[in-house]
Amino acid sequence: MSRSYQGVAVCVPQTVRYQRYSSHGAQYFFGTALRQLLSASGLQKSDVDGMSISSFTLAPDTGISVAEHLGIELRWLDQLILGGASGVVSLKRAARVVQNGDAEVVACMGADTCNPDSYANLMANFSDFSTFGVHAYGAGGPSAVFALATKQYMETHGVTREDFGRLCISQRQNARHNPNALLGDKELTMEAYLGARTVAEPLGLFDCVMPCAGAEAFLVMSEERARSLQLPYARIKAAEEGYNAHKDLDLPINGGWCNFREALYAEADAGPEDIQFLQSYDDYPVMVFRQLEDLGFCEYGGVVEYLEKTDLNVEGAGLAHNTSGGQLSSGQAGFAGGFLGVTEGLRQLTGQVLGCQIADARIGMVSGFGMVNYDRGLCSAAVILEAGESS
Amino acid sequence: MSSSIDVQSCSECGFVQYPPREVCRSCLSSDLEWTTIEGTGELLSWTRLNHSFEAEFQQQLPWDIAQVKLDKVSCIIANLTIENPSVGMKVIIRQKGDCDNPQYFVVANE
Repeated sequence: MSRSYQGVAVCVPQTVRYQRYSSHGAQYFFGTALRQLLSASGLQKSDVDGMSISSFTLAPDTGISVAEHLGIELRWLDQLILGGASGVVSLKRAARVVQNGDAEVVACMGADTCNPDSYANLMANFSDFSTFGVHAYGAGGPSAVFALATKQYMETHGVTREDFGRLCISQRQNARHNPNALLGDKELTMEAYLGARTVAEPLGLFDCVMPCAGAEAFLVMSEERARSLQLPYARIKAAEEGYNAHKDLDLPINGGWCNFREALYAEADAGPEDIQFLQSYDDYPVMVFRQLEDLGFCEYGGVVEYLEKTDLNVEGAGLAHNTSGGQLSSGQAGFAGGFLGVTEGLRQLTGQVLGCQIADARIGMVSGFGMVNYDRGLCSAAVILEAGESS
Repeated sequence: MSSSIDVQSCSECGFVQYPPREVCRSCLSSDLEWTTIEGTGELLSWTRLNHSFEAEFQQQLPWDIAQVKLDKVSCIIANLTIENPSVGMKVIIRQKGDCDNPQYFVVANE
């Protein structure tokens, strides 16, 4: 059976402007995202018959509450709670739905609000395992767990804080023309990176994403429909997802992309050397290092050497990486953080960037990772996208 | 404080697991019991928290925690009470409180 996504277009990348805090609820960000999708596509609300949503701060409302709140009638509805993997998985599932004819136009949206209490409340009640085995040790929230993973990675591979710092600085440089990046106008120097207050050793402030409010969204429809609407679009060359990988391994750093890397490249008929840009999931720099390894861009333990010879800058000749500045520069708008890589990848391939455009963008990869229920992230996903004909 | 710890084990297949679950992670049996195992293991990693969302910990910062692999159970996160910890060192986990509400402490295995 073919796994091709032939005939499917992914288009209309939209970002609801990020804010550090908001007094609005999550429904405001979904509503604004849908309004922007309609305005940018020329479609009516009645043209959208499928919706895929992701949010942490929507509770007690759910996906169906969003449909009611926004007054939209649907043939297909999905709610994904897969953390930073949600955007890629949303794209993948919406594509199959369009391919099968279960819906014609699917709005995929990740949105969250943020206020000073919302993040702490989320962390206090994230999962049974975290309440029992992490929160009880003062270590609620992802930073403590990723501090443990980062220290272990540094010891295993001889990586230094400066190595992570160079990655963070390169992302911040990519953000400098992106008005949506909350930290985009703040230059990051190595001195500032190393001197920032420690959150959990070895992680400093600039290793951690800043929680904020916002939304990311895009549309999935047939290529025919996209062309008739004269919308520039991207095609899916291959997409994979995986859950609870390495469940029997001690090392929590393992992400899971390695389990489907070969299938992903085989389906795309491409290799890492063909990929012009990578939008990786950058909740913490150590996970970017692991994605570069797991997705075959370099050998295990070879990231530092790889970065010495590979320019990650959006305007460089190497691998353009997190071309909007990523979450480390933009902020993490809850589940929108899991959609940011997809919308930025679409922006690059369709010439609709907020900040810097890479030259002649034809093919790129977006990677997602999420849900640290106890000591490791449990969801991983990746997609290879290429520019559609009308782009 | 005991130097052995209470963890869940499966009455059917003998699998030992942490954190506790409703069913056995291996064979899915719901016939689970508490078993006492030696708290000896290896320090996988550790960190010093300078930030916490928990009010009671905020007053005690900085607070050290560790991730420990025991011979039978991997990856227990616990309070760390070793002055100069290093990844890979031999440690013992001690348990305070009962199995439903334990607090684990990592000490050096000397």
